[in-house]
Amino acid sequence: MSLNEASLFDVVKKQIRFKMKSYTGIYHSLIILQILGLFVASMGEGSMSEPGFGRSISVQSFGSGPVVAVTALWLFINTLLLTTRAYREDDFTFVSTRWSRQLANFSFIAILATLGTATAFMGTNALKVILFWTIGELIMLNNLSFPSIVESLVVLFAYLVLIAAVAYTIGSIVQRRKWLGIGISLLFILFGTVSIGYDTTSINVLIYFFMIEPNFLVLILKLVSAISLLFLVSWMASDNQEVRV
Amino acid sequence: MIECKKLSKRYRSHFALSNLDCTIRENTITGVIGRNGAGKTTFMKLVAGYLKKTNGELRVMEENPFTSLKVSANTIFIDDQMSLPTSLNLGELLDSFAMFYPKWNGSLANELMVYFQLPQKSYVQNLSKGMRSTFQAIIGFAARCPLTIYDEPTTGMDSAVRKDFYRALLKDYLAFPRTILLSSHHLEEIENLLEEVLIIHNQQAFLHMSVSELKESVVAVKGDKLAVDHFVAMHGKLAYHEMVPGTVMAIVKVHNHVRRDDFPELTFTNLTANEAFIYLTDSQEGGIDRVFERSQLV
Repeated sequence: MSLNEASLFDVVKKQIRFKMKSYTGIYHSLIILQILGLFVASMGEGSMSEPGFGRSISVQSFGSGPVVAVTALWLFINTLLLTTRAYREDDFTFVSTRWSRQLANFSFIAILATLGTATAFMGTNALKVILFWTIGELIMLNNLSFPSIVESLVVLFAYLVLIAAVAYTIGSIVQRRKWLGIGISLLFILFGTVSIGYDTTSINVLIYFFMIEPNFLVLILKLVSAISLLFLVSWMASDNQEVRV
Repeated sequence: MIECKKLSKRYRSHFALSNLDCTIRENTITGVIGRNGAGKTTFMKLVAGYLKKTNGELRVMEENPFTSLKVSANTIFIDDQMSLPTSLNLGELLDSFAMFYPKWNGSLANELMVYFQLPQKSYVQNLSKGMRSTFQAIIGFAARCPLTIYDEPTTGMDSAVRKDFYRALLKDYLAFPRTILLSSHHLEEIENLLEEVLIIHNQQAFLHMSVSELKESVVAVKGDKLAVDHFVAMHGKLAYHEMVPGTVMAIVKVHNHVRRDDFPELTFTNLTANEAFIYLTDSQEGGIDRVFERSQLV
Protein backbone atom coordinates (compact mmCIF):
# COMPACT_ATOMS: atom_id res chain seq x y z
CA MET A 1 0.00 0.00 0.00
CA SER A 2 1.42 3.36 -0.95
CA LEU A 3 2.14 5.88 1.77
CA ASN A 4 0.29 9.15 2.14
CA GLU A 5 2.47 12.19 2.03
CA ALA A 6 1.02 14.33 4.78
CA SER A 7 1.71 18.04 4.84
CA LEU A 8 2.08 19.73 8.21
CA PHE A 9 -0.23 22.59 7.27
CA ASP A 10 -2.94 20.20 6.18
CA VAL A 11 -2.75 18.10 9.35
CA VAL A 12 -2.78 21.17 11.60
CA LYS A 13 -5.86 22.44 9.78
CA LYS A 14 -7.62 19.12 10.33
CA GLN A 15 -6.64 19.06 13.98
CA ILE A 16 -8.10 22.54 14.48
CA ARG A 17 -11.30 21.46 12.78
CA PHE A 18 -11.48 18.38 14.98
CA LYS A 19 -10.97 20.44 18.13
CA MET A 20 -13.64 22.95 17.16
CA LYS A 21 -16.07 20.13 16.56
CA SER A 22 -15.37 17.92 19.53
CA TYR A 23 -14.64 20.34 22.41
CA THR A 24 -18.28 21.27 22.77
CA GLY A 25 -18.08 21.74 26.53
CA ILE A 26 -15.93 24.83 26.02
CA TYR A 27 -18.72 26.72 24.25
CA HIS A 28 -21.33 25.77 26.82
CA SER A 29 -19.15 26.99 29.67
CA LEU A 30 -18.55 30.30 27.88
CA ILE A 31 -22.30 30.92 27.57
CA ILE A 32 -22.96 30.09 31.21
CA LEU A 33 -20.05 32.15 32.52
CA GLN A 34 -20.92 35.20 30.43
CA ILE A 35 -24.52 35.14 31.61
CA LEU A 36 -23.13 35.04 35.12
CA GLY A 37 -20.78 37.92 34.27
CA LEU A 38 -23.68 39.97 32.88
CA PHE A 39 -25.64 39.34 36.04
CA VAL A 40 -22.79 40.56 38.21
CA ALA A 41 -22.18 43.55 35.94
CA SER A 42 -25.84 44.57 36.08
CA MET A 43 -25.57 44.90 39.85
CA GLY A 44 -23.18 47.76 39.37
CA GLU A 45 -19.62 48.53 40.31
CA GLY A 46 -20.12 51.21 42.84
CA SER A 47 -22.45 53.92 43.95
CA MET A 48 -22.30 57.21 45.67
CA SER A 49 -25.02 59.32 47.08
CA GLU A 50 -25.36 62.86 48.31
CA PRO A 51 -27.96 63.29 50.98
CA GLY A 52 -29.64 66.63 51.08
CA PHE A 53 -32.70 68.35 52.43
CA GLY A 54 -35.76 67.25 50.65
CA ARG A 55 -33.86 65.52 47.87
CA SER A 56 -30.81 63.39 47.45
CA ILE A 57 -28.60 62.40 44.55
CA SER A 58 -27.48 58.86 44.12
CA VAL A 59 -25.22 57.75 41.28
CA GLN A 60 -24.59 54.17 40.45
CA SER A 61 -21.91 53.19 37.95
CA PHE A 62 -21.75 50.12 35.79
CA GLY A 63 -18.98 48.63 33.71
CA SER A 64 -18.24 45.63 31.58
CA GLY A 65 -15.37 44.54 33.83
CA PRO A 66 -17.09 41.39 35.17
CA VAL A 67 -17.90 40.18 31.65
CA VAL A 68 -14.28 40.52 30.57
CA ALA A 69 -13.09 38.93 33.80
CA VAL A 70 -15.21 35.81 33.39
CA THR A 71 -14.10 35.52 29.77
CA ALA A 72 -10.47 35.61 30.88
CA LEU A 73 -11.18 33.05 33.56
CA TRP A 74 -12.96 30.82 31.06
CA LEU A 75 -10.06 30.96 28.65
CA PHE A 76 -7.49 30.33 31.38
CA ILE A 77 -9.23 27.23 32.71
CA ASN A 78 -10.02 25.72 29.33
CA THR A 79 -6.51 26.26 28.02
CA LEU A 80 -5.15 24.61 31.12
CA LEU A 81 -7.47 21.68 30.35
CA LEU A 82 -6.15 21.48 26.77
CA THR A 83 -2.82 20.33 28.12
CA THR A 84 -4.27 17.48 30.16
CA ARG A 85 -3.79 13.84 29.40
CA ALA A 86 -7.24 13.07 28.00
CA TYR A 87 -7.03 15.79 25.34
CA ARG A 88 -3.47 14.82 24.51
CA GLU A 89 -4.31 11.18 24.03
CA ASP A 90 -7.34 12.04 21.91
CA ASP A 91 -5.05 13.98 19.58
CA PHE A 92 -2.74 11.04 19.14
CA THR A 93 -5.60 8.65 18.42
CA PHE A 94 -5.85 10.56 15.16
CA VAL A 95 -2.95 11.92 13.12
CA SER A 96 -0.67 14.12 15.18
CA THR A 97 2.91 14.86 16.04
CA ARG A 98 4.01 16.86 19.04
CA TRP A 99 4.81 19.82 16.82
CA SER A 100 1.54 19.74 14.87
CA ARG A 101 -0.32 19.48 18.17
CA GLN A 102 1.46 22.53 19.55
CA LEU A 103 0.59 24.53 16.43
CA ALA A 104 -3.01 23.31 16.43
CA ASN A 105 -3.46 24.10 20.11
CA PHE A 106 -2.14 27.64 19.77
CA SER A 107 -4.32 28.22 16.72
CA PHE A 108 -7.26 26.89 18.67
CA ILE A 109 -6.38 29.24 21.54
CA ALA A 110 -6.43 32.14 19.07
CA ILE A 111 -9.86 31.04 17.87
CA LEU A 112 -11.14 30.81 21.45
CA ALA A 113 -9.71 34.25 22.21
CA THR A 114 -11.47 35.65 19.14
CA LEU A 115 -14.69 34.09 20.33
CA GLY A 116 -14.09 35.46 23.82
CA THR A 117 -13.38 38.97 22.50
CA ALA A 118 -16.44 38.98 20.28
CA THR A 119 -18.80 37.69 22.97
CA ALA A 120 -17.37 40.02 25.62
CA PHE A 121 -17.89 42.96 23.26
CA MET A 122 -21.43 41.86 22.53
CA GLY A 123 -21.95 41.23 26.23
CA THR A 124 -21.03 44.85 26.92
CA ASN A 125 -23.72 45.96 24.50
CA ALA A 126 -26.17 43.52 26.02
CA LEU A 127 -25.40 45.10 29.39
CA LYS A 128 -26.35 48.50 27.98
CA VAL A 129 -29.65 47.12 26.76
CA ILE A 130 -30.38 45.47 30.09
CA LEU A 131 -29.61 48.67 31.99
CA PHE A 132 -31.61 50.71 29.52
CA TRP A 133 -34.70 48.63 30.28
CA THR A 134 -34.24 48.29 34.02
CA ILE A 135 -33.02 51.77 34.92
CA GLY A 136 -34.77 54.80 33.64
CA GLU A 137 -32.14 57.50 33.77
CA LEU A 138 -29.03 56.21 32.13
CA ILE A 139 -26.02 58.26 31.17
CA MET A 140 -23.80 56.43 28.73
CA LEU A 141 -20.17 57.41 28.84
CA ASN A 142 -19.30 55.96 25.50
CA ASN A 143 -17.26 58.47 23.67
CA LEU A 144 -15.00 56.02 21.90
CA SER A 145 -14.50 56.56 18.21
CA PHE A 146 -14.64 53.62 15.85
CA PRO A 147 -10.82 53.26 15.49
CA SER A 148 -10.39 53.26 19.25
CA ILE A 149 -13.08 50.58 19.60
CA VAL A 150 -11.12 48.45 17.15
CA GLU A 151 -7.93 49.20 19.03
CA SER A 152 -9.46 48.20 22.33
CA LEU A 153 -10.78 44.96 20.82
CA VAL A 154 -7.32 44.12 19.47
CA VAL A 155 -5.81 44.77 22.88
CA LEU A 156 -8.47 42.68 24.60
CA PHE A 157 -7.77 39.85 22.15
CA ALA A 158 -4.03 40.09 22.79
CA TYR A 159 -4.53 40.08 26.57
CA LEU A 160 -6.73 37.01 26.29
CA VAL A 161 -4.13 35.20 24.18
CA LEU A 162 -1.47 36.17 26.72
CA ILE A 163 -3.55 34.77 29.57
CA ALA A 164 -4.15 31.57 27.60
CA ALA A 165 -0.46 31.28 26.74
CA VAL A 166 0.39 31.56 30.44
CA ALA A 167 -2.13 28.81 31.21
CA TYR A 168 -0.85 26.62 28.39
CA THR A 169 2.73 27.02 29.53
CA ILE A 170 1.90 26.26 33.16
CA GLY A 171 -0.14 23.26 32.01
CA SER A 172 2.64 21.96 29.79
CA ILE A 173 5.17 22.21 32.59
CA VAL A 174 2.80 20.52 35.06
CA GLN A 175 2.35 17.64 32.63
CA ARG A 176 6.10 17.02 32.61
CA ARG A 177 7.25 18.00 36.09
CA LYS A 178 4.20 18.14 38.29
CA TRP A 179 5.77 19.81 41.30
CA LEU A 180 7.81 22.29 39.30
CA GLY A 181 4.66 23.55 37.58
CA ILE A 182 2.66 23.72 40.79
CA GLY A 183 5.61 25.39 42.52
CA ILE A 184 5.87 28.10 39.87
CA SER A 185 2.13 28.80 40.07
CA LEU A 186 2.19 28.94 43.88
CA LEU A 187 5.16 31.29 43.79
CA PHE A 188 3.28 33.64 41.48
CA ILE A 189 0.18 33.59 43.69
CA LEU A 190 2.22 34.10 46.85
CA PHE A 191 4.22 36.91 45.30
CA GLY A 192 1.05 38.48 43.97
CA THR A 193 -0.65 38.40 47.37
CA VAL A 194 2.34 39.84 49.17
CA SER A 195 2.84 42.64 46.66
CA ILE A 196 -0.69 44.05 46.89
CA GLY A 197 -0.30 47.58 48.11
CA TYR A 198 3.29 47.98 47.00
CA ASP A 199 4.34 49.48 43.72
CA THR A 200 7.82 48.25 43.24
CA THR A 201 7.73 44.49 43.78
CA SER A 202 8.82 42.57 40.73
CA ILE A 203 5.37 41.14 40.08
CA ASN A 204 3.82 44.58 40.09
CA VAL A 205 6.51 45.87 37.77
CA LEU A 206 5.65 42.96 35.49
CA ILE A 207 1.95 43.78 35.61
CA TYR A 208 2.55 47.47 34.98
CA PHE A 209 4.83 46.55 32.12
CA PHE A 210 1.84 45.04 30.34
CA MET A 211 -1.01 47.12 31.75
CA ILE A 212 0.25 50.66 31.68
CA GLU A 213 1.46 51.45 28.23
CA PRO A 214 -0.04 54.44 26.48
CA ASN A 215 1.35 53.63 23.05
CA PHE A 216 -0.84 51.11 21.23
CA LEU A 217 1.90 49.73 18.99
CA VAL A 218 4.43 49.35 21.79
CA LEU A 219 1.81 47.55 23.87
CA ILE A 220 1.05 45.13 21.04
CA LEU A 221 4.77 44.56 20.54
CA LYS A 222 5.21 43.77 24.24
CA LEU A 223 2.27 41.35 24.22
CA VAL A 224 3.37 39.60 21.03
CA SER A 225 6.89 39.06 22.34
CA ALA A 226 5.61 37.72 25.66
CA ILE A 227 3.24 35.33 23.85
CA SER A 228 6.04 34.13 21.57
CA LEU A 229 8.28 33.50 24.55
CA LEU A 230 5.55 31.46 26.26
CA PHE A 231 4.94 29.53 23.04
CA LEU A 232 8.63 28.63 22.99
CA VAL A 233 8.73 27.61 26.65
CA SER A 234 5.62 25.44 26.36
CA TRP A 235 7.04 23.81 23.24
CA MET A 236 10.28 23.04 25.06
CA ALA A 237 8.24 21.50 27.86
CA SER A 238 6.12 19.27 25.64
CA ASP A 239 8.56 18.48 22.82
CA ASN A 240 9.69 15.15 24.24
CA GLN A 241 6.45 14.14 25.85
CA GLU A 242 5.37 10.55 25.51
CA VAL A 243 1.72 9.59 25.12
CA ARG A 244 -0.16 6.55 26.30
CA VAL A 245 2.56 5.59 28.77
CA MET B 1 8.60 -1.17 6.92
CA ILE B 2 9.96 -1.49 10.46
CA GLU B 3 13.58 -1.92 11.39
CA CYS B 4 15.01 -2.05 14.87
CA LYS B 5 18.52 -2.62 16.03
CA LYS B 6 19.35 -3.01 19.70
CA LEU B 7 16.15 -1.14 20.52
CA SER B 8 15.74 -0.50 24.23
CA LYS B 9 13.09 1.22 26.28
CA ARG B 10 13.42 1.97 29.95
CA TYR B 11 10.63 3.12 32.27
CA ARG B 12 12.29 4.83 35.23
CA SER B 13 14.21 1.90 36.66
CA HIS B 14 13.27 -1.20 34.71
CA PHE B 15 13.73 -2.10 31.08
CA ALA B 16 10.56 -2.93 29.17
CA LEU B 17 12.57 -3.77 26.08
CA SER B 18 16.26 -4.36 25.77
CA ASN B 19 18.34 -4.86 22.65
CA LEU B 20 15.47 -5.90 20.44
CA ASP B 21 16.44 -6.63 16.84
CA CYS B 22 13.91 -7.24 14.14
CA THR B 23 12.85 -6.31 10.64
CA ILE B 24 9.24 -6.41 9.57
CA ARG B 25 8.63 -6.42 5.86
CA GLU B 26 5.95 -4.48 4.07
CA ASN B 27 2.56 -6.12 3.50
CA THR B 28 2.79 -8.97 5.97
CA ILE B 29 0.61 -9.94 8.90
CA THR B 30 2.89 -10.39 11.85
CA GLY B 31 1.73 -11.70 15.18
CA VAL B 32 3.48 -10.09 18.10
CA ILE B 33 3.39 -12.79 20.72
CA GLY B 34 4.71 -12.89 24.22
CA ARG B 35 3.83 -13.66 27.80
CA ASN B 36 2.36 -10.99 30.04
CA GLY B 37 4.84 -8.18 30.58
CA ALA B 38 7.19 -9.36 27.87
CA GLY B 39 7.22 -5.98 26.14
CA LYS B 40 4.75 -6.45 23.27
CA THR B 41 2.77 -3.30 23.93
CA THR B 42 5.90 -1.25 24.54
CA PHE B 43 7.29 -2.40 21.21
CA MET B 44 4.11 -1.47 19.37
CA LYS B 45 3.81 1.91 21.06
CA LEU B 46 7.39 2.68 20.08
CA VAL B 47 6.57 1.77 16.49
CA ALA B 48 3.46 3.99 16.55
CA GLY B 49 5.58 6.92 17.78
CA TYR B 50 3.82 7.17 21.15
CA LEU B 51 6.89 6.40 23.21
CA LYS B 52 10.46 7.59 22.88
CA LYS B 53 13.16 4.96 22.65
CA THR B 54 15.86 4.93 25.28
CA ASN B 55 18.61 3.38 23.18
CA GLY B 56 19.22 1.71 19.88
CA GLU B 57 17.76 2.36 16.49
CA LEU B 58 14.18 2.31 15.27
CA ARG B 59 13.09 3.22 11.76
CA VAL B 60 9.51 3.05 10.60
CA MET B 61 8.92 3.95 6.94
CA GLU B 62 12.56 5.08 6.99
CA GLU B 63 11.83 7.71 9.64
CA ASN B 64 11.99 8.10 13.38
CA PRO B 65 8.37 7.45 14.42
CA PHE B 66 8.53 9.66 17.52
CA THR B 67 8.80 12.84 15.48
CA SER B 68 7.51 11.79 12.10
CA LEU B 69 4.29 13.16 10.70
CA LYS B 70 4.51 10.66 7.87
CA VAL B 71 4.48 7.74 10.31
CA SER B 72 1.54 9.19 12.22
CA ALA B 73 -0.43 9.83 9.03
CA ASN B 74 0.13 6.28 7.82
CA THR B 75 -0.30 4.41 11.08
CA ILE B 76 -3.29 3.52 13.17
CA PHE B 77 -2.95 2.01 16.62
CA ILE B 78 -5.93 0.13 17.97
CA ASP B 79 -6.01 -1.14 21.53
CA ASP B 80 -8.53 -1.42 24.32
CA GLN B 81 -7.37 1.81 25.95
CA MET B 82 -7.71 3.83 22.78
CA SER B 83 -8.64 7.38 23.73
CA LEU B 84 -11.75 8.69 21.98
CA PRO B 85 -13.50 11.99 22.66
CA THR B 86 -16.70 11.42 24.59
CA SER B 87 -18.44 14.45 23.12
CA LEU B 88 -18.93 12.88 19.70
CA ASN B 89 -21.23 10.01 18.87
CA LEU B 90 -20.05 6.99 16.90
CA GLY B 91 -21.08 8.41 13.54
CA GLU B 92 -19.29 11.68 14.24
CA LEU B 93 -16.22 9.79 15.40
CA LEU B 94 -16.16 7.89 12.12
CA ASP B 95 -16.42 11.22 10.28
CA SER B 96 -13.44 12.50 12.23
CA PHE B 97 -11.38 9.48 11.27
CA ALA B 98 -12.46 9.95 7.67
CA MET B 99 -11.15 13.51 7.79
CA PHE B 100 -7.70 12.44 9.01
CA TYR B 101 -7.22 9.29 6.95
CA PRO B 102 -7.53 9.95 3.21
CA LYS B 103 -7.99 6.29 2.27
CA TRP B 104 -10.94 5.92 4.68
CA ASN B 105 -13.45 3.38 3.47
CA GLY B 106 -16.73 4.92 4.61
CA SER B 107 -19.08 2.42 3.03
CA LEU B 108 -17.27 -0.50 4.68
CA ALA B 109 -17.40 1.28 8.04
CA ASN B 110 -21.14 1.86 7.73
CA GLU B 111 -21.87 -1.69 6.60
CA LEU B 112 -19.87 -3.10 9.51
CA MET B 113 -21.66 -0.78 11.94
CA VAL B 114 -24.98 -2.19 10.74
CA TYR B 115 -23.74 -5.77 10.81
CA PHE B 116 -22.45 -5.52 14.38
CA GLN B 117 -25.55 -3.56 15.44
CA LEU B 118 -23.72 -0.46 16.57
CA PRO B 119 -26.04 2.54 16.40
CA GLN B 120 -24.42 5.63 14.86
CA LYS B 121 -26.10 7.84 17.45
CA SER B 122 -24.78 6.18 20.57
CA TYR B 123 -21.71 7.28 22.49
CA VAL B 124 -18.55 5.37 23.04
CA GLN B 125 -18.73 5.64 26.83
CA ASN B 126 -22.11 3.86 26.76
CA LEU B 127 -20.86 0.84 24.85
CA SER B 128 -20.04 -2.43 26.53
CA LYS B 129 -16.42 -3.57 26.54
CA GLY B 130 -16.92 -5.97 23.66
CA MET B 131 -18.92 -3.48 21.60
CA ARG B 132 -16.26 -0.86 22.12
CA SER B 133 -13.61 -3.28 20.92
CA THR B 134 -15.75 -4.06 17.90
CA PHE B 135 -16.17 -0.37 17.11
CA GLN B 136 -12.43 0.17 17.34
CA ALA B 137 -11.78 -2.83 15.12
CA ILE B 138 -14.08 -1.27 12.52
CA ILE B 139 -11.97 1.89 12.65
CA GLY B 140 -8.89 -0.23 12.05
CA PHE B 141 -10.40 -1.83 8.95
CA ALA B 142 -11.86 1.32 7.46
CA ALA B 143 -8.78 3.52 7.98
CA ARG B 144 -6.82 1.37 5.52
CA CYS B 145 -3.56 2.55 6.96
CA PRO B 146 -0.37 1.17 5.42
CA LEU B 147 0.67 0.25 8.95
CA THR B 148 -2.17 -1.05 11.10
CA ILE B 149 -1.40 -2.08 14.67
CA TYR B 150 -3.85 -4.09 16.74
CA ASP B 151 -2.88 -4.61 20.37
CA GLU B 152 -5.19 -7.20 21.91
CA PRO B 153 -8.06 -6.13 19.66
CA THR B 154 -10.48 -8.82 20.74
CA THR B 155 -10.62 -7.94 24.44
CA GLY B 156 -14.18 -8.41 25.62
CA MET B 157 -15.55 -9.67 22.31
CA ASP B 158 -17.63 -12.82 22.45
CA SER B 159 -16.42 -15.78 20.47
CA ALA B 160 -18.78 -15.24 17.53
CA VAL B 161 -17.64 -11.65 17.12
CA ARG B 162 -14.01 -12.72 17.53
CA LYS B 163 -14.42 -15.18 14.70
CA ASP B 164 -16.04 -12.51 12.55
CA PHE B 165 -13.24 -10.12 13.40
CA TYR B 166 -10.49 -12.49 12.28
CA ARG B 167 -12.36 -13.32 9.12
CA ALA B 168 -12.93 -9.66 8.35
CA LEU B 169 -9.28 -8.90 9.04
CA LEU B 170 -8.15 -11.51 6.56
CA LYS B 171 -10.65 -10.50 3.88
CA ASP B 172 -9.76 -6.85 4.24
CA TYR B 173 -6.05 -7.65 4.17
CA LEU B 174 -6.44 -9.59 0.94
CA ALA B 175 -8.43 -6.78 -0.65
CA PHE B 176 -6.07 -4.04 0.55
CA PRO B 177 -2.69 -5.53 1.49
CA ARG B 178 -0.92 -3.59 4.21
CA THR B 179 1.45 -4.20 7.06
CA ILE B 180 -0.41 -5.48 10.10
CA LEU B 181 0.95 -6.05 13.57
CA LEU B 182 -1.41 -8.09 15.69
CA SER B 183 -0.83 -9.03 19.29
CA SER B 184 -2.96 -11.49 21.12
CA HIS B 185 -2.83 -13.85 24.04
CA HIS B 186 -4.68 -16.38 21.98
CA LEU B 187 -2.12 -17.56 19.47
CA GLU B 188 -4.27 -20.61 18.76
CA GLU B 189 -6.99 -18.30 17.44
CA ILE B 190 -4.78 -16.31 15.13
CA GLU B 191 -2.13 -18.77 14.02
CA ASN B 192 -4.01 -19.57 10.82
CA LEU B 193 -4.15 -15.89 10.02
CA LEU B 194 -0.54 -14.99 10.56
CA GLU B 195 2.29 -15.20 8.13
CA GLU B 196 5.01 -14.47 10.63
CA VAL B 197 5.36 -14.43 14.36
CA LEU B 198 7.59 -12.19 16.38
CA ILE B 199 7.97 -13.71 19.79
CA ILE B 200 9.08 -11.21 22.40
CA HIS B 201 10.39 -12.86 25.50
CA ASN B 202 12.29 -11.34 28.40
CA GLN B 203 12.24 -7.90 26.73
CA GLN B 204 13.93 -9.20 23.59
CA ALA B 205 13.01 -10.52 20.18
CA PHE B 206 13.18 -14.17 20.97
CA LEU B 207 12.15 -15.58 17.62
CA HIS B 208 11.05 -14.07 14.38
CA MET B 209 9.95 -16.65 11.85
CA SER B 210 7.02 -17.88 9.84
CA VAL B 211 4.27 -19.78 11.61
CA SER B 212 5.15 -23.04 9.88
CA GLU B 213 8.78 -22.72 10.92
CA LEU B 214 7.65 -22.16 14.48
CA LYS B 215 5.57 -25.33 14.39
CA GLU B 216 8.43 -27.33 12.92
CA SER B 217 10.92 -26.08 15.41
CA VAL B 218 9.31 -27.84 18.34
CA VAL B 219 8.25 -31.50 18.44
CA ALA B 220 7.10 -33.93 21.04
CA VAL B 221 8.92 -37.25 21.07
CA LYS B 222 7.83 -40.36 22.87
CA GLY B 223 9.48 -43.72 23.29
CA ASP B 224 12.05 -45.74 25.14
CA LYS B 225 13.94 -43.72 27.75
CA LEU B 226 17.37 -44.39 26.29
CA ALA B 227 16.35 -43.52 22.76
CA VAL B 228 14.63 -40.35 23.85
CA ASP B 229 17.59 -39.32 26.00
CA HIS B 230 19.85 -39.85 23.02
CA PHE B 231 17.64 -37.68 20.84
CA VAL B 232 17.21 -35.00 23.48
CA ALA B 233 20.98 -34.74 23.93
CA MET B 234 21.33 -33.66 20.29
CA HIS B 235 18.71 -30.93 20.57
CA GLY B 236 17.30 -28.61 23.17
CA LYS B 237 15.17 -30.05 25.95
CA LEU B 238 12.08 -28.02 26.81
CA ALA B 239 10.09 -30.50 28.87
CA TYR B 240 10.67 -34.02 30.04
CA HIS B 241 8.19 -36.37 31.59
CA GLU B 242 8.48 -40.04 32.49
CA MET B 243 5.03 -41.43 31.82
CA VAL B 244 5.64 -44.99 33.01
CA PRO B 245 9.01 -46.33 34.10
CA GLY B 246 11.12 -46.78 30.98
CA THR B 247 8.88 -44.71 28.68
CA VAL B 248 9.48 -41.00 28.36
CA MET B 249 7.84 -38.12 26.59
CA ALA B 250 9.88 -35.02 25.87
CA ILE B 251 9.26 -31.70 24.19
CA VAL B 252 12.28 -30.80 22.13
CA LYS B 253 13.45 -27.75 20.28
CA VAL B 254 15.08 -29.11 17.17
CA HIS B 255 18.20 -27.35 15.98
CA ASN B 256 18.18 -28.61 12.42
CA HIS B 257 15.87 -30.52 10.20
CA VAL B 258 15.11 -33.96 11.62
CA ARG B 259 14.55 -36.88 9.31
CA ARG B 260 12.05 -38.83 11.33
CA ASP B 261 12.78 -42.05 9.46
CA ASP B 262 16.19 -42.10 11.11
CA PHE B 263 14.57 -42.69 14.49
CA PRO B 264 12.19 -45.59 14.00
CA GLU B 265 11.96 -46.29 17.74
CA LEU B 266 10.55 -42.82 18.51
CA THR B 267 7.05 -41.46 18.00
CA PHE B 268 6.94 -37.85 16.86
CA THR B 269 3.98 -35.59 17.42
CA ASN B 270 3.59 -32.14 15.94
CA LEU B 271 2.60 -29.29 18.20
CA THR B 272 0.39 -26.35 17.41
CA ALA B 273 2.07 -22.99 17.16
CA ASN B 274 0.54 -22.04 20.48
CA GLU B 275 1.92 -25.10 22.27
CA ALA B 276 5.31 -24.53 20.68
CA PHE B 277 5.24 -20.96 21.91
CA ILE B 278 4.29 -21.93 25.44
CA TYR B 279 7.05 -24.50 25.72
CA LEU B 280 9.62 -22.16 24.19
CA THR B 281 8.88 -19.36 26.60
CA ASP B 282 8.28 -21.43 29.70
CA SER B 283 10.82 -20.19 32.18
CA GLN B 284 10.32 -22.84 34.82
CA GLU B 285 10.73 -26.48 34.11
CA GLY B 286 7.68 -28.37 35.22
CA GLY B 287 5.46 -25.30 35.05
CA ILE B 288 2.93 -24.33 37.67
CA ASP B 289 2.61 -27.91 38.96
CA ARG B 290 6.17 -27.81 40.16
CA VAL B 291 5.49 -24.69 42.21
CA PHE B 292 2.67 -26.42 44.08
CA GLU B 293 4.69 -29.57 44.59
CA ARG B 294 7.52 -27.55 46.07
CA SER B 295 5.28 -25.55 48.36
CA GLN B 296 3.74 -28.72 49.77
CA LEU B 297 7.14 -30.08 50.69
CA VAL B 298 7.91 -27.15 52.92
